[in-house]
Amino acid sequence: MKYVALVGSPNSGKTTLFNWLTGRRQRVVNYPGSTVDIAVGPVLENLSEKTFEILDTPGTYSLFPKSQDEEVTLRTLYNPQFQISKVILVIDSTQLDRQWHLLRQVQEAGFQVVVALTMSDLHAREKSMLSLEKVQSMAGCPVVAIDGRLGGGVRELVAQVAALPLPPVTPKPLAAWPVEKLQQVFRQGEELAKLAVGNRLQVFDQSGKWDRVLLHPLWGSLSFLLIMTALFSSIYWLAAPLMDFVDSFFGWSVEALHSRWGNGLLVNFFADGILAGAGAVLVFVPQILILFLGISFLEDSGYLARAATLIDRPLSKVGLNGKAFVPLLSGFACAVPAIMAARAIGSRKERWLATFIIPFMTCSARLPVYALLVGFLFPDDAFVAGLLMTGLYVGALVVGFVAAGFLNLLVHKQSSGFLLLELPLYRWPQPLVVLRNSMRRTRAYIEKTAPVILVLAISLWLLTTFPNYQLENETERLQGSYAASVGQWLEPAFKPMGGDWRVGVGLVTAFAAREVFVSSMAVLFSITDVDDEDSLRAGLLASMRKATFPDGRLVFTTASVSALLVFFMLALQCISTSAVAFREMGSASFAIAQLISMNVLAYLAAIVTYSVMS
Amino acid sequence: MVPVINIPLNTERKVVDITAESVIRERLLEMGLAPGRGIRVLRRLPFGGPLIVQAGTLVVALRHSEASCVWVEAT
Repeated sequence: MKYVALVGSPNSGKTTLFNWLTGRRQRVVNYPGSTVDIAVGPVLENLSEKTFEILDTPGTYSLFPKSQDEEVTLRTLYNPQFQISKVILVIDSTQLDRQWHLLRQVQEAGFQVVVALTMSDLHAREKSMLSLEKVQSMAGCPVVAIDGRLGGGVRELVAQVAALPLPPVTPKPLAAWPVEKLQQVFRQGEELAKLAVGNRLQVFDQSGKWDRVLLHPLWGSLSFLLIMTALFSSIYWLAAPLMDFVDSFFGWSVEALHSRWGNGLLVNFFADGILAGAGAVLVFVPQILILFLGISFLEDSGYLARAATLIDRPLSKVGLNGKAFVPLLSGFACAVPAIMAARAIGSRKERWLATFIIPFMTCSARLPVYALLVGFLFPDDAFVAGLLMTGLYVGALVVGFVAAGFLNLLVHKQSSGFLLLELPLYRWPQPLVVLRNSMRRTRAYIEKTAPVILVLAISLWLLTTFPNYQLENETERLQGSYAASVGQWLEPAFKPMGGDWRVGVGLVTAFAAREVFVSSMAVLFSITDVDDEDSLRAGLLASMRKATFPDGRLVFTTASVSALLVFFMLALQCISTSAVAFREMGSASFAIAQLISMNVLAYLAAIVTYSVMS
Repeated sequence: MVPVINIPLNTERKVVDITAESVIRERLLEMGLAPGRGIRVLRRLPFGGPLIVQAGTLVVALRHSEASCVWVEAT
């Protein structure tokens, strides 16, 4: 018995229990050939003499999945790698009547089960009855009450799991339940709930009072805007100093390597290839962690379901539903975790649509590029610059929704989506649970993106270093490099949008990560030995203003810079995004179609912008 | 028999039938919205947004298309 699975309905307190069982040693497993990643961790040593690992499966209403993440639960249960025979079935004791059938399904499939009755603290607080004996005699398996606030009952739960005999036969997938059977089991659950659980708890009424404000036509919309603004501004303003810190740490390290060991080929490889590539991944970690903290907090409090409900109507106009809200919101930090979050959207069509338009959301990698180019257009007018910045955000959002609406028309005949969104009780989130969930998700993000970005960063380093690697001057080395040959070869393609071959190389290198464009420009326009970022930007802007084509025309004009902005607003220049879209949708043609159509759209829009403005 | 979408706010009615396509019907059953249970509409979100309905301890947001498939007793 190496693995024991935690199975339960959404909002049953499963993740809180997982935290009590495993503490901080949780991680994400992701096995080959699938997109599944689930939280796993060994049971805390002080809880049990035998060691085994707990798998936290996504919440599911039944063993007959109706969304991608419910399928993950099912596939996990029957995955030969885990050989699961024992299940901890998490039932919210206040929802016993509604979650009873899940127990019967898991038992019928042949698993040995211990029931964890969560939220027992709610009964205790209201001095309401909760009879374990009655539940146990009906369930025919051990039942343990869990206090999610203080961790009561966790030790006994582990002991009961360890004491379970192995099942006589290997668990098998369930044969379908006819509706009559489901209803019959349901009635059994209702009967049991009447006997074993006291009257309706007051927390339900309190929760209803909150809804009277938070789902109110006026106050609800206002609080929605307020909460989202708070979340949104914290992923930018709160994260900014941390991101600067990471950025300058890597800048300093690269610098330190060079000053200690010079500019030999090997040093350059480690400093400018590997270390700079690692920096490109890690610079976004603070922001993604803060985003996950915010989302976990709202999720655990019960508000996120309300937010999704409020936004459902507008999203339904373009073929999406309220459940697409969190993925789209995450897209403003980074498309990679956003596309992973889209798994929770119920229907395939809506998940498909959301995944397609997520890269239109203004991710943070676009920010350094915007800052440079907007700074070029309006160096002295912060207000107009801010206005333009907002315009870029809104513009991309509008294009994204128009694209969704258009694609929705194309795929309209396929199944219609559904909402069916449960609104859980409002509860005060537990800080430790929120923190550990967010750290685990952040780590999964790093593990997903790091290899891709590193490989690409190293290839770009090779392309920009060779064949003239022996040259001391960085600009000369680059101008004679393979990357430059590619750029010059591609120059005719960049002409219509006003760029020369150097801009072309910048755009090509931006496929490693968009913000690489800025450092590429710095190298291409020979601003290398300034280490302070502000003066780097100032120096770069100054040399951009002087840059000319061979015939003496300026490369960077209002028209060509605007065209570049439009291009960055719409283009999918991110290999990690394509890789994750490919893995999540399980379809290369989806990822390729998305990559091509977004970039063609961006390219055409940039050409139009350039020709209209010049 | 009337669809739940047509009943006044905060009045409890008994669910008689659910006529949605099978996935939605099964999911509603699994969530705890079954014939024979009492159901009430807690609120309707503005601009044709979802209905918030309650059945026992279940509080769930339903779109109009979904709510019009849940039939309750006429009085």
